[in-house]
Amino acid sequence: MIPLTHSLIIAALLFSLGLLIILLRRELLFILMGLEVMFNGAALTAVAAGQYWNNADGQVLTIFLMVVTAAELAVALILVWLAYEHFKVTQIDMLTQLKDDTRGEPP
Amino acid sequence: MSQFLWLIPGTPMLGALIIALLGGLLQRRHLAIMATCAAAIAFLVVLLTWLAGAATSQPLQQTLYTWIAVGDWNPTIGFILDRLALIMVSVVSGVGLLIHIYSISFMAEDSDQRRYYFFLNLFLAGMLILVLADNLLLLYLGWELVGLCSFALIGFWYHEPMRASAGRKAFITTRIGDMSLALGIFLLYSQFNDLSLSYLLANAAAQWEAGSQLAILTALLILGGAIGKSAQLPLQVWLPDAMAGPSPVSALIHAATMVTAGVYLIARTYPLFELAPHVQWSVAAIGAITIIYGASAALAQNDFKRILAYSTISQVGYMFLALGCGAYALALFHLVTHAFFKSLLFLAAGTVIHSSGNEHNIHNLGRLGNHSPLVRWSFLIGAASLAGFPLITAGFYSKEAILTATWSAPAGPLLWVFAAFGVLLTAVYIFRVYFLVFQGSQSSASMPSVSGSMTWPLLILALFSLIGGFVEFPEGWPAPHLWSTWLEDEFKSVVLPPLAIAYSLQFITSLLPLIGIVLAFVLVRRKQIGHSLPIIVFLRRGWGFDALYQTMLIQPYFSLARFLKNTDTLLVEGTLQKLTHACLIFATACRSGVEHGVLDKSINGLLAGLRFGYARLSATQNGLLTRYALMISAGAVFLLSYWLW
Repeated sequence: MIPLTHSLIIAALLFSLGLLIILLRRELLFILMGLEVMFNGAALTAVAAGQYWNNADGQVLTIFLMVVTAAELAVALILVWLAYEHFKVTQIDMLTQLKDDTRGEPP
Repeated sequence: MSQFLWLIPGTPMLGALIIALLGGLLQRRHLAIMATCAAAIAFLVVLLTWLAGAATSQPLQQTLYTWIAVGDWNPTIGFILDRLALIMVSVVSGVGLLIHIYSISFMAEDSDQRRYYFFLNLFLAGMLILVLADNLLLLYLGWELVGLCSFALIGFWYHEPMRASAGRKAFITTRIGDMSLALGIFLLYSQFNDLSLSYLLANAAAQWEAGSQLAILTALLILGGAIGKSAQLPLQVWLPDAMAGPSPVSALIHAATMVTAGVYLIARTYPLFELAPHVQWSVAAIGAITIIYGASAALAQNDFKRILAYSTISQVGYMFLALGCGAYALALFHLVTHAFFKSLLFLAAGTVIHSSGNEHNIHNLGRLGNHSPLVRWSFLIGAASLAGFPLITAGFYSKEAILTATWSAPAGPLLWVFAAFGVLLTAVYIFRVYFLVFQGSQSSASMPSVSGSMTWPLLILALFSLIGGFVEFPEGWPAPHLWSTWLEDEFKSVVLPPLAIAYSLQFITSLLPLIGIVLAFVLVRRKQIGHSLPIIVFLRRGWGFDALYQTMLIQPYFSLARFLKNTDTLLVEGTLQKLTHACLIFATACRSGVEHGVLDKSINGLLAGLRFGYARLSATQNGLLTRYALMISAGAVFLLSYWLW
């Protein structure tokens, strides 16, 4: 049996990798992928903890998480597509509409 | 029988689901037929429960499953079918089925039938959940569902901004009431730790004294919800505008079923109102004032459907009046007859408007002439029933019963005068419409025929508008009182005035509609209504409530929004500039002062610091998602490490 710490380390690695992808990549689609990797880290923790305590809740939670992730991804992909439709960008750096511009007139 | 209870709200819900998910595969006509079948099955199940003796047996109950389980709180998806629910379910599913049938022809030309039937079926499901729910949480779910569907169907033709904004107006106005109801439910939960209706109603009287503050507050909050949904003063402004939706929708949602949800709610939670007599009296007072409000405003309208909308406001006022006087059974009686004759009127009006090319103005409709005799007669029957034409119409029996019961309530004679004046006004405004629209109608060859599926609902509703009242004859008549005997276990009986007074009241209320009809005839003859008088404009605008809310609530709200937008600039830019300015003045003053060098430097330093800080803080708001993500992660790491230290 794999000890809990090992799974947790893998999960933490996955989570940090995902976070790094989000922080470093500029492509919108890659950021979504990074998000997925982070979700997997969280799901792995749930499964590992469920196994550790001999409790099925962890696995139930993981399936639930998958469903939610799928739904969230569907919405996110539409948003990415809309961003491309409206602004013709796929790079996150180009989307700076929320930039604080105190010198100009308020929109 | 009780294991089939879920089918009643279940089939329309299933219909809505199929239309939403697979509607693209079906043809338009099949969509309509499928939606109608869903409504028909629900109605059939209701009929079967009648046949199985639900009317005489103990309440049927079914618990489907536990909805949420949190600690010791387990709200369920559970239904209860007692006599009160049975009345509501029969009306909702029956009228709902007829409106579905009517819609097949009415909406045949529309290109977006999928959305229409989806919301219509969903509405039916929501309304049935509302009336069948055995706990307040499920009731609230139905309550919100019907509100949503009402919003979506009022703004059904959302390409026209006026209609879309009517939908928004209805949603926002009823939301005020919904919030009040939600607060009431929270309050009940905090006091009883349970939301099951049977538990609450049985234990409320034991836990609260009559007239205690909590009881008054709860009753007031529930009343707020009922007022919002049932379009009573002062939250009535949404209903006239709600006529922007298709006519069948107005008939189903804004006349027969959803607007009576408030009446159902109060009748359902009546033990709470009995604990707060003042609140109960104010229910009656609100009803009485609303009767006059709706009837007088209807008198001055020129839009066919707006007249009927104001009329609905006024008729629901009668139900509130009855509730406030403790005559719950009679309020339900009027609810049922009103559902028949008002949806009949709406469907007849819809047919006239539909066949005259969307002409809403009653004067123009009268000039257009040729309306088919079927529509003319069904409108006449509906109008007579609404006006309470003595002896032969259902409206007479229900309205008369409410008026007699009003007399013996606290301040009863005053309320009675309001209600009786309302009866007179009702007869005048509805027959003004009848004479204006249908009087000049000649039978010409080019008469538009009413297509098949629109005929039957009109005929059935007309029949029930006539005979629906024969279940309860006025007090003191040698005829059966089926309705009140049947409901006497559910509610306590009403205190009625002595027979001599009752007879004279009955005589006056049967005379008033006749006077009203004659008055309407004379007024239309003289073409007096709708001209000159300044009060007409006041009445036509619904007593100026819209203008009042516009200046009192909406404009201040927009001003506040504008103010906050400006403050944003002022705070960030203005304050800093003012600060700089003040510091400069201070610095100049100090420079000529004793501590020339030190102060100057420190002030300049302060200024530089402020400018620097402002620039740095502003830089954080750079709109870059990755930067925000970095900040969030850094914050999380910081918090976690602080926590775990």
